[in-house]
Amino acid sequence: MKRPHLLLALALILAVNAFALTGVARNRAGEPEAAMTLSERELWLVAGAGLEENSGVSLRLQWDRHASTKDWFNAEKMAELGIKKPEKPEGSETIRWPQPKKIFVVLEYEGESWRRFKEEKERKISELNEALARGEEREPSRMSIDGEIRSLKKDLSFESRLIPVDAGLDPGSLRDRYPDNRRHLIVSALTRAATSYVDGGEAVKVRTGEIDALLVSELHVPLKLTAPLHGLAPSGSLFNYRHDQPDAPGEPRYAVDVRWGRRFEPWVTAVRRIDKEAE
Amino acid sequence: MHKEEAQRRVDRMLAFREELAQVESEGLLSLTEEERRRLDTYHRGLQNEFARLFDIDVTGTEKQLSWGMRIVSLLGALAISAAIFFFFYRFWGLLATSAQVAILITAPLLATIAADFAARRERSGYFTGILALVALTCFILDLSVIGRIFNITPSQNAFLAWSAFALLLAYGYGLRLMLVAGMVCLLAFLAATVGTWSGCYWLSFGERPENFIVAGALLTLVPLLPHRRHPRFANSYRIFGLLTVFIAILILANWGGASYLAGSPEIIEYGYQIAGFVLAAAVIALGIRRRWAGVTNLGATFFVLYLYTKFFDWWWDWLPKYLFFLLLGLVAIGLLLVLQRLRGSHQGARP
Repeated sequence: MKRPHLLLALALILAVNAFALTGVARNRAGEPEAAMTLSERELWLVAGAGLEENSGVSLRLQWDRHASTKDWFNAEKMAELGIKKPEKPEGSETIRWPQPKKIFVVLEYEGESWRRFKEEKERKISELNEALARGEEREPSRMSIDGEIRSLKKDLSFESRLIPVDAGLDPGSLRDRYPDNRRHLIVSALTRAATSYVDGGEAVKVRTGEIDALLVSELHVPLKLTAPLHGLAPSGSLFNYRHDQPDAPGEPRYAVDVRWGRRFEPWVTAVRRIDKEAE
Repeated sequence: MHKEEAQRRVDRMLAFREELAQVESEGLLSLTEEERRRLDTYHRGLQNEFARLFDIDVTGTEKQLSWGMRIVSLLGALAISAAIFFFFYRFWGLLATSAQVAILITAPLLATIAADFAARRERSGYFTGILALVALTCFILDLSVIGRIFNITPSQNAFLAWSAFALLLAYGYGLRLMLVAGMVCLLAFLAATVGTWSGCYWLSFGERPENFIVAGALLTLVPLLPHRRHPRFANSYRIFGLLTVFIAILILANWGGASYLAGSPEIIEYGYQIAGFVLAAAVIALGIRRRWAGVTNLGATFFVLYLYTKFFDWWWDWLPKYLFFLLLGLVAIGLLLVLQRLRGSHQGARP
């Protein structure tokens, strides 16, 4: 054999690809770990066919980042997960920030947390409507009552209904605690302590644990499923600053069937236009 | 014999002929016509043989052109790699998943075969280098896009695969550019793996410079393995590994909060400042002792850099700027005098 490095290089390419694809097959084999039908509220269109430099279509998983985690992501849970807190050593002026940690998070879809969130928003809207009826007005520096009502209504129409409700290091035991795999999704995520500055910025106080990012948050849509998404503008351009945009869509534009496999990696199995379904 | 040895031999021949001409012009030595003819025939024969086997530079002009060709081939390889990357992303959404996967796997295979074909046809290695970098780009694209298509959780092991591939091509075809690419990927893999030992997620490996100290030190040890076919590779490992360690220490000497070590960041910074000076001095001494010119220069560069950052900490705020820069200049002259004395003592020790 005159050039063993050539054969080794070719074998390496094939072996690594085979390893990756076998992992994909193992993830998708058998019963899915979770299966859900989500809408544009939970899966934002981040790129679409027709974009100049990237013709791939992908959807970004959104969870409610504003939902409070203080009920469950407390000091006890942080200790259980081994999440370190920022500290300021004695005699030092520098705060030392720990690195994020990989954990598994349970995201609840349209569950009790969402219902509480919805009720809170509806109560606020009703209060604001009463204030409007009384003819109350706000200082010009604040958002108008009308504007706030619009913003709250759009939260109700577009905010993700996936809300983090628990976390752990072992996904198996989390699934035992949350067996409904159509309502509770288990995903890998990075987390760290959520902090706020105290003593005029001299020290930090740990409030709760905080989810930094989901490890797989972007879902690729295969070509055969992209047709319903053709011609749609990316969700971010419509939903960001939405209270200033009267043209934003009134309802989510599509629904997506997603499955998660043994390795907690997702894949899209169907995409439908919601408006077409209604017709 | 390999290309580097042949080039060194030809360089020695050229230097010998220049010195001979000088000595003859000064009347110290003169070869007879017969001796001159035999020497010319011997050298020309060797040069022709080396040029036939290795495509080496026989004249100064050829050497200059070779440097130009190396730079052009590097830029060309980078541009073609970028073109492949953007081309794929522009059109991949128009392909079915099976076609995407087939193209992604086939592209690095074909580019590798093309690099091998080029290596058989040319002796210079320029086109082999371009095609090898294209093959590595295709392999990187392959794994990263397969990860995106199938929503795979990212892993640092991809760096190990890319590193192994780049190093295979580097050693197979004697390509230093691929060696650098392989070392960068290996460094990322080692630093990420060291980062996971402390329980952190691998993608955060850049937040703790100590990960790079361990990874860089491991790279510096690679030349302990014999490198008979590629003696210059050993020096590349040393320089790259030490450069990594020096940069990591420089960061920690100014940002102790990024360290794994417990305790006050200020004390950690002092510790790394001392460690930086000691290591730089040790590297200079090692470079002089082993006659590793690159290692000596690297140690000297970082010694001065550490010194300047300390001066900045101490004096920038309270000294007038002209005095600050004057002090820097005086320190540089002082170091120059020290190095000159060192050089003089070495010359004195020479037989």
